[in-house]
Amino acid sequence: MASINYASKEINCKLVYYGPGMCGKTTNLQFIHQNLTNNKRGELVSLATPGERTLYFDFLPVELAEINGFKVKFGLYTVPGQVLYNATRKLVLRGTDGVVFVADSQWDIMEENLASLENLKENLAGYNVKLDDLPYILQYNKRDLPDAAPMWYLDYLLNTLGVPSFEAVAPQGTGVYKTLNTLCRYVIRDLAHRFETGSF
Amino acid sequence: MATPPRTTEQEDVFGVMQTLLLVVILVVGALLITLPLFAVKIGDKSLAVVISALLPMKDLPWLPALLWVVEAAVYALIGWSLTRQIPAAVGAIVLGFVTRIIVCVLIALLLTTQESSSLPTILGNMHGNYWPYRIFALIPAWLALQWPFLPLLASGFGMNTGATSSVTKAAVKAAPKGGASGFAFNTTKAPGARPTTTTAFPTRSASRDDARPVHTLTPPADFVMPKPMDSLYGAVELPVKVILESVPEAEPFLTADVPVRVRLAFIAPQLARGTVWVTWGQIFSDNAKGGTRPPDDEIVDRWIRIRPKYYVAQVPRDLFNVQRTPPPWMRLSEVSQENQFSLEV
Repeated sequence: MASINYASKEINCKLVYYGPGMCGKTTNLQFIHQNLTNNKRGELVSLATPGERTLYFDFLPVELAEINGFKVKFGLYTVPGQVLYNATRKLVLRGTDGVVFVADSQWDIMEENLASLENLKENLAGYNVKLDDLPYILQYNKRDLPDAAPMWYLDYLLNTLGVPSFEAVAPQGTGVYKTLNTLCRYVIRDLAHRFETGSF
Repeated sequence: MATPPRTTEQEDVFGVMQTLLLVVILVVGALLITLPLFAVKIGDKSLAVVISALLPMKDLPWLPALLWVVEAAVYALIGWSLTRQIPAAVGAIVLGFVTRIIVCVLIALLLTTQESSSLPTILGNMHGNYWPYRIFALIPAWLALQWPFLPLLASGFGMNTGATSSVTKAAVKAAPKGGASGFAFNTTKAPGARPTTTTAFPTRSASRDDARPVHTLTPPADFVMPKPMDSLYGAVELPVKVILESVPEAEPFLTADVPVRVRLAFIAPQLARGTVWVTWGQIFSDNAKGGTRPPDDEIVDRWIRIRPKYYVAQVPRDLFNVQRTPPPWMRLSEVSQENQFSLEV
């Protein structure tokens, strides 16, 4: 859940990049970190194994805009994709305001994509949150690989709610900002709506 | 990858023998049903004659037509209940009538020995005065649909399945046998039959000493085999390597450069899973192309995993069309200044 600091006039939101192992969640954050100016981003905190597998989570604070005099800051988190780290994934999801589900476009990873999406729903349910109550975006990463499944098929398989979905090649930055921009807008709309309805 | 070639002569001989066997079964069955009518005596008259005397002498005008309709409905119902396929139900009507007419002719032949009427007269009366004999004749027709005709119906008259037995014994013996791997022989399933277990097949007694290591690929623990979409026709062609990845011991039965066909009816219900699981029996569900199905008592049942890249392009696109309702947060109105969230590469 987002926090508002009236003294410093800041709104802090939490966004989580979720997905199967090796799908490119950390690469998304690395690209954002490398390409944002220093005044818009903090340090990328990453705890990974020597094989570049996320062990706990990655964290990148970014400041993207100012709305009605309030600075809007987003904490971008990734979760470890490996199956055995589910407790960590669930912990990172706690209080999230939006989710980017990063899917691996390769044909052979479809089962892992589906399992991860199911795992996301289960972990959210642990906090009494349904996936369709939360702004979330689908990013189909690794579109440059020769054995990438077509977009329409990924949408059929993973986009059961018809949420926005984007193609991405994270190391090159393709689709990375587009995904983040879109999710940020939906998160802000959702926050504004909750303010108006008093459910914040 | 040696598949024993099947010659035309072998095909012909097998077809003739099968037809002869069916005719023998029908004739013997019909005689078993009808003979008691004439063997059983009441006084000095046979049961058949007694029944004939009890029949209403006057034709009921609506009865023959009604019987034709009821009879056709019964055959269709039998066909449908056995296969859950509309074409098979229609086929059952044809087979049912053919069988019943053969039996009626037999009854009529026997009746000519008991009564003075000629064969054509009795045959004509079968649908009028002698209608109970017609009903008697339904029994062997029903039995015929239950057994000798069932494989024919289930396979769409040989169009949906490649269940043949022309594989040589040598090829069968050459195939590795199942053993201590946790699988069992599945010997009696008709094409399209669904396994009742959700994980693995029951364990077969590991008594054979020649058991070799085999793949023990099984679906996920929560896997439930969906009901096939029998109304969906067509098939998907898979490269042989897809089958061999799951069941390497199938190599002797498959031809390397001929794709294996699997009915869409088995694929479609699993599309949303991303990966399709089919049984060994189901991969031969369409015309046996790509190889020869070994005799049921010789082959071990296996699970085959099919990755989506092998079938997606061959599945009609409309099966992937799903109605989606966007979640409520997507319908919220824009917030002023939200356009500031526009990072660009």
